[in-house]
Amino acid sequence: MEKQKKQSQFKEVWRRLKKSKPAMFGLIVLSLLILTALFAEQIIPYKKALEMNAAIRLKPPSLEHIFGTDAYGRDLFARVLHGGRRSLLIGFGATAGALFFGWIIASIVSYYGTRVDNLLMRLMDIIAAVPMTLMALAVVSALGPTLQNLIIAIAFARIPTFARIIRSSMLSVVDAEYIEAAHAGGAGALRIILKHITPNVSGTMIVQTTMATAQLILIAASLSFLGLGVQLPTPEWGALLSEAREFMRTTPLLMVFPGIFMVLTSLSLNLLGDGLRDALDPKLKS
Amino acid sequence: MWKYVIKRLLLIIPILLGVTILIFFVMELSPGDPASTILGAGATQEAIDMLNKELGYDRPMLTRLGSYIANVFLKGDFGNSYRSRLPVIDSIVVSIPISLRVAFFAITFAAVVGIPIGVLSAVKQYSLLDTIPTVTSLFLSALPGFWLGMMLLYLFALKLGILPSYGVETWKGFILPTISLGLPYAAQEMRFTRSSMLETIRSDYVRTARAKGAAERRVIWRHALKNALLPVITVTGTIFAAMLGGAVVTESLYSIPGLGSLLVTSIKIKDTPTVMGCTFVLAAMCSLVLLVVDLLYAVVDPRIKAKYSK
Repeated sequence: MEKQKKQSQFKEVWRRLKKSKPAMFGLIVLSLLILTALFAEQIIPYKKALEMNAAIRLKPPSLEHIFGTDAYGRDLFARVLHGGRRSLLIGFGATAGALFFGWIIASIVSYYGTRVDNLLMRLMDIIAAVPMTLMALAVVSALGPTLQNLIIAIAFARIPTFARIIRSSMLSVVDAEYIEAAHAGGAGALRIILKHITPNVSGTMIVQTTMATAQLILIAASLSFLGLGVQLPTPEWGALLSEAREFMRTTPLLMVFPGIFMVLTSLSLNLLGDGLRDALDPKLKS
Repeated sequence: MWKYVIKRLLLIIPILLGVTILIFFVMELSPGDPASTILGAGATQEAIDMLNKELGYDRPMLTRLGSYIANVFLKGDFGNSYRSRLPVIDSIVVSIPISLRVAFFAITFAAVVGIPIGVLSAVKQYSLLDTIPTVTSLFLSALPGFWLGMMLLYLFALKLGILPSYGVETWKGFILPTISLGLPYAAQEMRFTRSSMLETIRSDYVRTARAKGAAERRVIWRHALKNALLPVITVTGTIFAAMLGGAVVTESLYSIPGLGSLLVTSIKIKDTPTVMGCTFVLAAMCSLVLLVVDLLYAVVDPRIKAKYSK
């Protein structure tokens, strides 16, 4: 019975989402981007992204190198594709981390109430008092610029936003009668949080996750662009742009391709997020 | 009202204290001691120990934290730069006005472009005047500011040669940074104004105004707009705070000698006191901006004012 109910709810959301053309466009573009990232190795081997060849420096697009070549004669298509692997990994990884810890904090404060709430949320206020890019910058500079540290730094900077938003959704749920009923039925804290509170705020969490991923991919890219994220010659969209900057005058295409991929990613995530918000809560739709 | 202002001002202090402690611990995560970083790989252990002692790094961590907090909050002293050995506060004070100017131009640009277009597209909902800005704003808010900056730089500075590609010595130098920092946020302002305006247009008092026969123009300008713009104030303030932080990338792209550039350079040369100072000052400025926004909101919205005047 319960399973059937869940499925029908999922179906209902999917039915509404399908009707939104922008959201479907976003979903298709995003799926394609994720697929090219997952199968980058099969499309074009990683070694082509690192193989230098002085004879073909800064060449325009051709059949052999469809995006052209960079300043070291490396294939730009391979670099953008394999760069996408890292950019998406950082974006999704950091979002997952921030979501997880934000959710834990929100659960604790909304379940245990005022005193814990004051303590943890003031801590969140402190982290949030430093603008996100700045906080990520400070953390990654202290930990050292590697892909892993970049994920940690960005996730850390995004935790307060998740915690605040999930908390405010949860607060509107914790006093509901069905929670009281669960208490009366002898359910423990963990069970109530996992089975009764979280499913009822999952809509907010899903929408926030898509929006955050778009935002965090751009922040990661800007840190790499400053030379404080993924280090060259490892390809990543922001790092590619920082390299492209030096050859802007002669070969502007170097910055066009990674940029277009970034815009497509963040656009598709935003469109999908907008669509999901409307599909999950039709009341909100204007 | 004054009581509220003072209360809010006092509340900033614990936040900033927390920020200082947080930044201190974050910086403690970085491996190695300052002297080894300053002197490089070739230095003898003796020289390293001596310099660490001179910098006060031989003391226990909590003692250092305590004296750092005391210096920052009681004397406004952020210590000396590891590199130039000059007070950090001197280089910060020079950069603040430049950063503020860039952020101020950008927020003005974002508001002047975004708000009127947002109002217009709400009033003309579903017409071309609504669709075109809405679609454009979707693309603009997906643009990474620094990429937009690079493209503008290429077009206007390198290709057409009509604007300088770096520095802010002349007013022309501000144009590209303003647009590249402001345009994605203009899209946000537009989207937000539009939805706020749409909500207001459907409210009861607007219907009443229409029902009593007020002209449509009067309904929009006198009744709806004033109320619709209230939440826009908050968003504009939040964006301004985000800009102060986000300007780090723009400043470094256009070689603008503001706080952002200072911060990035200091990170690269591992000048920890300057990094901490810049982060603290930027966080403090953001907190102040958000406070001003809250107060402004109370000033323009009598409902909130009434709540706090008690």
